[in-house]
Amino acid sequence: MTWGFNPHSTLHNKVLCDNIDYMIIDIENQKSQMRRGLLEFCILLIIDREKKYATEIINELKKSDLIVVEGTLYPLLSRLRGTDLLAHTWVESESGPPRKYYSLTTKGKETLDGLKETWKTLQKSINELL
Amino acid sequence: MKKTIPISIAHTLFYIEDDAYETLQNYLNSIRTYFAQYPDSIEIMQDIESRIVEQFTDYGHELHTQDKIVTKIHVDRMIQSMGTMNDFDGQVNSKEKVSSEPVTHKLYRDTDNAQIGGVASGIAAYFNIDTTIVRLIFVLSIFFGGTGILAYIILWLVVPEAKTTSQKLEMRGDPINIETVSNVIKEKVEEVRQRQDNRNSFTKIVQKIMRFVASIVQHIVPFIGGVIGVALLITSIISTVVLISLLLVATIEPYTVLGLLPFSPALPWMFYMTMVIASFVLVLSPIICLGHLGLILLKKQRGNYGVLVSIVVAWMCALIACIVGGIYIQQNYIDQSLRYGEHQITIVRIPEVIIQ
Repeated sequence: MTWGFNPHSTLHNKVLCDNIDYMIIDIENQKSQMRRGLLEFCILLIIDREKKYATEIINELKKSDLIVVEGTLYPLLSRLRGTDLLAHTWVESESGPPRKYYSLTTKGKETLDGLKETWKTLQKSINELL
Repeated sequence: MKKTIPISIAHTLFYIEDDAYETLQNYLNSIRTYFAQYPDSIEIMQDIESRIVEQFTDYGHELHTQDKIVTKIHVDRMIQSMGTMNDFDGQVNSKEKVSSEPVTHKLYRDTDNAQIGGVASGIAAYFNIDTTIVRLIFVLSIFFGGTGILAYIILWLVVPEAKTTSQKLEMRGDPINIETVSNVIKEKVEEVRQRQDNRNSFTKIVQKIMRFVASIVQHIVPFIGGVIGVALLITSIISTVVLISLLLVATIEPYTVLGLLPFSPALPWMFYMTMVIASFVLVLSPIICLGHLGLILLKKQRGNYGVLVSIVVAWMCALIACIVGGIYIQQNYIDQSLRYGEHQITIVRIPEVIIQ
């Protein structure tokens, strides 16, 4: 009888799988999660200084070892656009397709200010623990 | 020597060598599937394609190959720097993905694990319990008046079969993403390998009969629906015509419809007219509703919500008007109604006298 082998057939199995997933999280994964959490903050910081388009943001993030693959940036930008933290204007480019230059909205600036405060407090508390 | 294919990425023309083309197409397909879970996946893909164009142009300059010809080296380098689905998985927030695609949980028939029609296994998948328990309940219910068999047949006819992979995931209430989809495909392959004529001939015969019945029902139901629709439509049209002509008569020659209305034309003209119109709306609204229902059945379309709401509102207004008017008449025109009552009584008495 084949249905007995269905791994989704009981709630119990599902909970068990989730727990195992949770336990497998290794140190590498924790590192990348930490980096991921800070990535949005960094993107906002980079755009705050002046209008940037995706490649410029990627280059800055790569310079400071914050991003491994470029594809990661796009869903994050999409999320920031979706939550109205970023606005964009199209600028023609000589060498390729038109570029999308991002800038912070008022909401984005407010969020960034809030994040800066959080970062300062966090930095202080962690430095004390180190 | 290699064949080149002209392609357009982000409205930019490139000539790509055929082996590179295949790699690029596979890559784009895989990340398109991956980003399909995001609410603005199209924009993400456009952004990524713009970036790819930039990279190809840059590599062209770096590698001193002729501009606008893309080779396998270009594509491999691009993929390395953009990252594949596996690279994204570690980096992109997994919680975000789940929330952007809410998990739907629907009742389907699980024909992959079916013994007869897949009803029991579908219910088991829906409630996340063991299929054997559901089957046992169905079998036991036969001894309690056979309701289980009837319920089974009805469910078989009504509940749709989980055919596509996403329907199978919805049946189990799993989120639709790369991992779960590939799990289902793996299971399917496994099951096909294991089953190989697991079902006996009795099941096959019952299945054939049920399929036949289902196909008949599928043809008959719309037909019956159409017939009922036509009947409703005709009835409501006739009733509407009759009522409207009655309304006209009540307006022009009030005393000819004397017995049909529960109030007399001897009331003040404006009041009488308000009551006439209100009571007609009261009767007409449900008839129009029925006609609308007939139209829905006939055309197999969804009902017009606005029409139904306005009919209900009109009906409510008419009801309030009738109640208020009725109370008003009761309190202020009792004398008149009593007088009519006496008249009727005398009319009844006359034949009695004749008979005696």
